[in-house]
Formats: sequence, C-alpha cells, structure tokens
Amino acid sequence: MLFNSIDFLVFLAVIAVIYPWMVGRVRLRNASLLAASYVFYGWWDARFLSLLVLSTIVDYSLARLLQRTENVPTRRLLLAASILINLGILAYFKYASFFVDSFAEVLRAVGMRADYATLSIILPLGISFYTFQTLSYTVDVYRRQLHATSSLVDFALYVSFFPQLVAGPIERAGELLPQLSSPTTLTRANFSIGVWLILFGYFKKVYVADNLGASIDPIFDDHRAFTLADVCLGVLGFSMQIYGDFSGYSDIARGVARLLGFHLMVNFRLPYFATSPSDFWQRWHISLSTWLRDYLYIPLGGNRGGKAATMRNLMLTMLLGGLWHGASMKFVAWGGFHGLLLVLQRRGIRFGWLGMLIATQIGWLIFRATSLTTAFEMISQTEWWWTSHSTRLLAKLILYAGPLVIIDVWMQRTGDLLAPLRLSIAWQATLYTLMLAAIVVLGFDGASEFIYFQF
Amino acid sequence: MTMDLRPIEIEPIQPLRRWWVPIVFAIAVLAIANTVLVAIGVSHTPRHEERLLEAKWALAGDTRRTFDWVVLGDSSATLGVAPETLSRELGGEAINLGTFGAMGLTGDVWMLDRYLAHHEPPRGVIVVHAAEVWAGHRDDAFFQYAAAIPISTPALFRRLIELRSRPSEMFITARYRDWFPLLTIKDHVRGGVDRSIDQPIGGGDSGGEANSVELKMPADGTWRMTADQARPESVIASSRIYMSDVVEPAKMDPRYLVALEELVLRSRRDGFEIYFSGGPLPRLVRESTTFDGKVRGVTTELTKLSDRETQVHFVLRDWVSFEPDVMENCNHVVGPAIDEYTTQLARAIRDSMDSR
Repeated sequence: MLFNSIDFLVFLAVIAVIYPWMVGRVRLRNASLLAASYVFYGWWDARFLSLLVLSTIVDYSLARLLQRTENVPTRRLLLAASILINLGILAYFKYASFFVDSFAEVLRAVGMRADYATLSIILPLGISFYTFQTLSYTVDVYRRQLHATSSLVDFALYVSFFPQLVAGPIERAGELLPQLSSPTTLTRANFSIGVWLILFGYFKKVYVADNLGASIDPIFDDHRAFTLADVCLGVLGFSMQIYGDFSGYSDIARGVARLLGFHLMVNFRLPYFATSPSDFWQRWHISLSTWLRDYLYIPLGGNRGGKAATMRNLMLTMLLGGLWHGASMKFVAWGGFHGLLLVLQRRGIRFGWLGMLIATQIGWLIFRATSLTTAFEMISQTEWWWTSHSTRLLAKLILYAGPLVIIDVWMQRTGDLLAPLRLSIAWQATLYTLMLAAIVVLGFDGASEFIYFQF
Repeated sequence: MTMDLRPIEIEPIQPLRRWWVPIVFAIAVLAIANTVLVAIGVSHTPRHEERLLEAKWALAGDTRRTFDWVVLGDSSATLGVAPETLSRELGGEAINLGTFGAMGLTGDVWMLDRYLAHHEPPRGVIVVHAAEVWAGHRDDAFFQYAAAIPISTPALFRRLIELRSRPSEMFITARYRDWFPLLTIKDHVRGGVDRSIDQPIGGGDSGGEANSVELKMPADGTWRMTADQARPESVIASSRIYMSDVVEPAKMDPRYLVALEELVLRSRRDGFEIYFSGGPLPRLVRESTTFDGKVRGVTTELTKLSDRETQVHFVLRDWVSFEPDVMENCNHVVGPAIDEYTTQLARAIRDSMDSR
C-alpha cells in the first residue's frame, strides 16, 4: 500500500476510527496494529507475508534461546544462525541475480563461455529494512544490551509496524519495543506534530519529488540529447527529488506513528547543510548510518586499530552500505565514493558546506545514472553550454524545489525541525493551506512509488 | 562557509490547545474553493484522449451506417489506418475505431462489443497495435481512461471484474472527477504553469502533451485523430530510448492474452474474420538487433492463434517501417505514409483472403 494512494487514506481512516477505543489496552492495541500491519503489507503481495512472518519467528525464537543460554559457543551458534538466515534470505531475494550476472561477466571477460539462465526474482517490499531491524534485535540480545521480549505479538509488531515497515526508519528494538509494551496516550503534542509531519511529508513527496522527477527523468533516460548544463541541473534536481521522496516518506511514517502515540527516530536532519562527509551521514538516512556504525563499522574494529585499519573499516562499511541500496555496481560505487570522502576527511581534508554539497551531487550522479558507464558519459559531455531548455529546467527547479529549500533554511537557522509549529495559529493555518493547495492542485498525478521502495 | 548547527526536534513546550485549527482551516478553505468551482459550473478539463474515447464510443454506437471493415487498436491504428484507403483496396465501407495505447487490447474488446451491439457483424475486424503495446505495455492509466467511457458505473465495474482487475484510485478519481474540480483542475493549472516556463522536454514517444496530434471530424463524420507534422528529431531520439528499453524477449501481458481470446471468441461466434497486425515503425527500430527479441513473445502468441483458428490471421509479420521524416513519433505516421501503410496492410489482408 502506498502512502500516497487512496487505499492508504481509507486504511488510515478506518484505524483512526477504531484506535481510540484500544489505546489503553496494550494487548488488544498491539494485536490490532499487527493485523493492520499485515493487511498493509499483504495489500502489495500477500505471498511475501510469509517471509515477514518467517523472519519474525526465527529472530523471536533465537533471541529467546539466547536469553536463556549462558554457554558462549551455543550463544555464538545461535547468533550465527540468525545472521545466516536473515542475510541468506536477503542475499537470495536481493542479490542472487546480481552475483550470477557479475560472475558471468567475469567469465566472459577472461574469454570463457557463460551460458546461464537469468534469475527472475521479485524483490519483496521492505526486505532490506525489516531484515536489518530483526538482525539488530538478535545482536542486541546477544550483546546483553536488550532483554528478549516474551511477547511474540509485540515482537511481530516491532518487525512489521506499518508506518515504517517498507522504507524505515530502521528502528532499534531498544527504542520501539518498550513503547509497544506500554499503554499509549493520545496527546495534543502528538497530534500537532503528527499532522504537521504527515502534511510536510506529502508536500515533499507529491509536490516536490514527483514534479521534479517528471522534469528530470528525460535527462537520465537519454542524456545524449542534452548539454552538460542540463545534466548538472538534472543532478541537482535529482538531489532534491530523492531528498523530498525519502525524507517525505520518513516524515509521513513518523507522523502516522505519532498519531498512534509512538515516537520513531528522526531519519533526516537537513542533510544538504552538512559541512563534512561524517556530518552528512549524521543527517542523511540516520537510521541506516547509525545501524552500519553499530553493527558493522564498530565490530570491524572501528577506529581502534590505527589509521590503515580505520580507513579499511570505513571503506568496507560504505561499500556494503552502498550494496544495501541495490544489487548493482553503481550503488557499490556510490558507497565507495562516500567511503573515499570519509577517508579524505580522516586525512585532514576540509570540505566546508559548498565542497560537501558538490561532492554529494557527484554521488547522486553515480546513484541515479542507469550505469557507471552512463555516469561517466554524462559528465564527460563536450557540449556544455546553457540552452533555453536549461533556463526552463532551472525555472522548474525553483518552482518545485524552492519552497522546500526556504523551509529547510528556516529550520536550519532556528535549529529546530519543528519550527513551523512555533508560528502563531494564523500563520500556521496559512502555511498549512498553501501546502495542502500545492499538494492537491499542483501535486503530481497518480500514486507513484517511493524511490526507496526498490531497496 | 560553515554551518555547524545540526537541528533537532524540540517538542512544543506548550502544545497548542487548538492544534487542529490549522489543518481544519486548510481543509475548509480547499473544500470551499471546490464548492465554488462546482457552483460556477467548472467540471474537469477533458484530456485529449478522453475526448477521443468519447467520440469513438459514440461512433461505435451510431447505427446510421454499417461497415464491412472495423479497425481497432491503439494510436498507431487511429493515426495510421485510413478507412478510405481500406475501402479502395478491399471494397466495402471501413471505420476506424482505434483509440490509444493505454486502452490496450482490453479496450479493443470493449469497443468491438459496443460496435456489435449496434450493428451487424462486419466482414473483417483489423486489430493494429504498436510493438510495445502488443508486447505487454500495461498501464494503470487504463482505468482512468476506461472510467471516461460513458456507460454506467455498475456496468463499468462488471467489465473490470470480468477482466479480474481491481480498479485503481485513478479509476475512482476519473469517474467522479466532476464533483472534485479542485483535484482535476490540476491538469489545467499544471499545464498553464508548464506552458509558461516550458516547451515539452525530449519529445515523448506516444500520447503525451508534446505531440501535434489533433482530434478532427472529417466530412464523413468519422472522428479521427490526425498527426499533421513529422518530427524526425524526436523520432530518432525516442527510437534510441525505444531500443535501449529492450533487454530480454518480452511476453504478452496475461490480461492481454485474455483479451485476445475474447476477440477470437467473438469472431467465431459472429462469423467474421479477424486480422492482427503490428503498427508502423521507424526503420531505425525495425533494423535494431534488439527488436526481434522484443516482439518474439507477440509473434509466438499471434502465430499460435492464427494456426489454431481458421478465421484468425496474423498479417504484416515482418512489420512495416518508415523513415523518421514521415513520422510524428515512433508509432505515428503522417501524410502520404498513412496511405502507404494502409495500402500495405490492405494488400496483406487481401493476400490472406486469397490464400484461403
């Protein structure tokens, strides 16, 4: 079910009607939210619910066993089983085709025949997100940082909580499970923040991201028909599109969770104001970057093993972080590029705001181009001049991305992501009306998928 | 330039007691604006495709004339098949009930049913589609356009259930758009905004606002969509996209296979011949190495069908291609090329008739 579909609005309306009756009754509330979450997920393809349930049962059971066992080899074995099963499922559904294709290419490169049937595997929605969530739970229980929950329903809801199920934020069990096992209260603050986040999220997705996507897609579909100036504007447009799309999804997810009385973590903190690579990753997809830090970078040794080991750990973490985004060399290259930026920062290179912004744009070119070769072709165009088409494209960027830039500058200057809620009621009403009108009257037609659904 | 401030969410210290006022106000303003638009009689802005669909639907139900040849299909048929050329080459009267790609083969069944409900069966039905439509171009825009067909909602739903399809929200918004002009006026507003800053980018392959297609009513009263100017640069650019899209042999959409069987069923029931054909193509596309892979699934299905049923024929199997300077986009021919394509189509039909 897409957040930007009538199906979801009806679904949410039904929940809004029945939810107040069960807020104080934890078991009933959680069972109902679990059922709703499975309906939400099954709406896309009910067959893949079985994977979600399998992942839930495996990690629930293994964590329970880990909780009871003191024997170290047994505990390691249980942890290894969880990692193998979770990453095995992820590897099969997400990476099998990629590895078969890459292996065949290597064979062909050395002159050997590579006859193989291309795998056609459907990528289950949200698998990268919920797999990381279940995995972190088991690891936390293994590390004795968390008590394994005894309630299967609570755990199943933690894994499948519909607002963040398909595209995050990747919640930590230590943050969400305690909320799920306590009664919730519906407060004015939650409603106020929830409504704002939902409205702002839809604005970012429907007005900013979808309109920008329609304007810049032709450049990435057929870059040869455009000049370098157009390509640069296209990349700039994409940087705002993916920001609007993904942070819009996170905002809607957090807003819906707020209305239900739950707090999800902040996933974006105005990333384009970052002044260094490490600052960027503390602002962009925070739930993933902190996950990678805690469950990959630090276990690899973090910065404890000297300069060379730190660089290696950074590169490995970012390469795998890139691969997490999709089974393609371009995502690996994008991760590698950001790893390189982090390494350069460690070596004392100062980026500053503008330098980091330009570096981020280069990253997005690698990310969005259809392949690495295409990305190189796009920036090595000899026709670089500004055309009337460039002017029109710039006008569209200003029209569709300008309002979001203004709001972000305002939030950055006040240091408050909820700055609009400090306005007087009259100004708030004006802002809400303008945003709703932009969504309804100027929003892009049809329910287009969120970019991060493919990951 | 450095900005070290990393914003955080600070909970409102004193949450507004009337937290609901801004959002209720915003919704109320938009609702009032919508009501005003309804009151002053602003309904939705019809799209070009909807006007065509409504005109063709009316034409299919017009009982004043009967026809020997009925042409169905997407815009490659609508623009590329001239009824007068068919009449000249095959004899008898011909009518073009072609629509556009988003209606797919499913749209052909609907249009044929409409025609058969009001006329005697014709001698032959000619179904022409562009390669990517045959090859399973499935577009949810179908529901939006289907909703524009002027029949009752229950009848529309029945037909959609027959096709085992769940109408999307596009269907609902399209069907009831007259009540929500604020939602649909966006076409008008966005179009105005885009026009003020934009000439269409790139040149779309089909159906977009970019093309120079017009809906016209010739002297014979048969509504026809016409493309009046060639756009060779756009054809060449979109040919490249067209070819790069193809990575493996495409299969026909299962929904289209159902529609194909439905068409065949009607030809068997009412005793008319049915001719399937591909639409015109740019030579660049036809000669590309990937093209045959793209249409392999289509060729297999249509060949199977024509081998199985004596009244079913698959003509122009080698496809007819043209230079870009007589095409408006990858599927639309203009000027004398319309007559040329139709003549080739008619001769293939005649050959098929003669060989029986």
